[in-house]
Amino acid sequence: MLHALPLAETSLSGWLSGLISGHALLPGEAPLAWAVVIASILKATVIILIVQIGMLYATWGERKVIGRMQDRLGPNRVGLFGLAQPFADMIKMLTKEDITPTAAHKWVYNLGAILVVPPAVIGFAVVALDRHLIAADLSVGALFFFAIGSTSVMPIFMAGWGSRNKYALLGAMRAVAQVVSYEIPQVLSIVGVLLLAGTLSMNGLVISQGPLGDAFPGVWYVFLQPIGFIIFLLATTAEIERTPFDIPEAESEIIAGYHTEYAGIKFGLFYLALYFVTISASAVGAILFLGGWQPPFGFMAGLPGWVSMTAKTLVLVFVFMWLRGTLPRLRVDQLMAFAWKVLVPISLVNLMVTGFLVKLVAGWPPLGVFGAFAVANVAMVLLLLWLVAGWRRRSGARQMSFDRPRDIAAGAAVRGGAA
Amino acid sequence: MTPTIALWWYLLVAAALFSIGLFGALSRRNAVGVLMGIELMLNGANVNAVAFWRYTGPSSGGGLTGMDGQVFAIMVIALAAAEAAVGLALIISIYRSQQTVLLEDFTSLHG
Amino acid sequence: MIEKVAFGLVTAVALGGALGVVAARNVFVSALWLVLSFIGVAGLYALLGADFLAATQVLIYVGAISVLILFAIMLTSNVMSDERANNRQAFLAFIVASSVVAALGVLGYRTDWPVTWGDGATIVRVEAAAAGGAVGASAPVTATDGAAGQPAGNTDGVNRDENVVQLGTALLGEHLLSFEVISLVLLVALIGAIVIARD
Repeated sequence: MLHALPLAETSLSGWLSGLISGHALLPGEAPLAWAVVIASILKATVIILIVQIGMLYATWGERKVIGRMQDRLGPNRVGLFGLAQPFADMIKMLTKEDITPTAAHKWVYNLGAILVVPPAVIGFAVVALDRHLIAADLSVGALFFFAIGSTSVMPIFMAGWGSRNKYALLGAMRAVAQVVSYEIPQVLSIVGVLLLAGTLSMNGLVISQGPLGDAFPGVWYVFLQPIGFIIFLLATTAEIERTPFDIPEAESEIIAGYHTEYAGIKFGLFYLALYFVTISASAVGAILFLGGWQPPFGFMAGLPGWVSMTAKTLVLVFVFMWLRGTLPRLRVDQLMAFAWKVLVPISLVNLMVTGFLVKLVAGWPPLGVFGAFAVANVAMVLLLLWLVAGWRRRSGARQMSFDRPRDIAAGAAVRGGAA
Repeated sequence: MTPTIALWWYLLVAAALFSIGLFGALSRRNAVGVLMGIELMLNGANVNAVAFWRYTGPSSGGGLTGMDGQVFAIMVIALAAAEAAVGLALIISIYRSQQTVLLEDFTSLHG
Repeated sequence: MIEKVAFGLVTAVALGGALGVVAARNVFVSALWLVLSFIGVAGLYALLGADFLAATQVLIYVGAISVLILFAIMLTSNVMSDERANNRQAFLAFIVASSVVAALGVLGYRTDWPVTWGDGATIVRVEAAAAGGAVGASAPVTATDGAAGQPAGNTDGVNRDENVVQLGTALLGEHLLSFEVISLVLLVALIGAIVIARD
């Protein structure tokens, strides 16, 4: 179980080792430790640069897309098609006055803004843009991504508490309750995929969806796990706090939530992190459900992996923009009820059915596997519709509601127990 | 291949974590602070378990198969989660009736 | 060398965070230091080759337990208070804690541990080299290759991918009973927490 190709040809660290030590690596020989470090730093730099540019144009793209959806033109004044707009925005952010409220806890307030970026960036370490364009193909890659994602609540807490502003604190409490609640359906929805692939490694996940995967060859997991995919999309939208789940920063209720007190570049950092996580979540969605860097059709086999991967990621980014342009914001009680009463039970059922099917279909021909999953998914959807219809008939009420606001905190307590 | 870092260093770090946690659990006035100290102690114990798994584990199962140390650590993490959930629920409940979370004010059992 | 630097860094984070927890006056700041300490401990696990455990540590301690603690602090305390954080037995506690660390340190140093680091590792490395020799340069890409295609940084001989599989097998095989018991404990704790916190 080693690289199929000699290290010296395929990996940056192998090449660097050869450069430093003066001879190419023999098969099985480990590269120099420092070469590994330098190679990692180089890879990280390249990935961060790509992501930065992607982030800048994601803001431009979002304004264009939403503008068109709302029958406007979007930015078109600065540069050709408004393409220089992100840079104008950046200059504006950087030159604005940097205000620290006198009442704020200085350290926590400033660190909150700074620390909001690292969790958003570190997640990219395990995103496989191509077979070899990955900073670290960890054996626990998928778990690592969601673990890093779960740390993003800490800077939110710090921002909300450090600002000493009741709206900021309220926004932080809302944000954390939401992120923590939606983490459960998000992780449960991908466990089905992990069961199918039998690995947590990002490259392993992509390869298992390609023509050479040994478990279920040539099938993207979105076709075997459609319910999981939809839950993943919904939970991720809430996890990265985008409309319709942007209750923590609902400007009509609590000004701007936890970043109310931030101005200039510190506000810019929150903005940056929002787009970083949008892109990284889309990329991970593409890897888990859409075959990652595998080309979409057999005849495209010559296409570079990163082209397929970028295209798939952009499709998912567009879906997030689409949701934002289409749907109104939820109420906070609807939001919590949706996570705990709808998404968690569905994802648990989906997980159980998938686990059962994975054992059942072992050794079946591909068409049989596909058919079994199709039948199971249709059955689950029908069951769900039947349950929802019955529930609405019985309750007579159209809204899901919690009685008391403090149940939200109880919801967070439940989640800690469930973890 | 010999380990770069001797096992003792990991044991020392684990002991230090445990002791700092012990100090926190014994000295804090705030009930949540005591709970944090206990979490630190559990972490120290976990570091010990994983260090022993890495340094002395493989021989027990022949090759790198003995997973007892890691399983033990996972059980401790799960128990810590349960402990935090129940402990903090208790603290919130006491706060509702006593309006305080300082341990020296919890005197209703003094009679 | 790199291992030593990394060990020094994560140890500094873990112990520095822990010291911050007991030194901070404000309980909220104390909880933030606790998060740092948890991250340092995750780094220690990663250094020891327990990648799955490191990720789990971040996911559960940082993502869940710390959040619970912070929520409890916000719901119960005057969050801006800077009053005395330690009780009267702090000095006594300091003596107890330092004697514990001294005793454990001496014991750990003087005991002759049956260290077997290297035995299993050598086997894995030999197998890996053999596989590398057998698979030609133009061999097709296989699923297992992708999973194991991470030799660049791993020079310590732990086969991390196998580790996750073995851990899963151990949890649902050898240790099935404790796995089931812990699930039951979690369920009971979950229900108990709801019941206690509601009224």
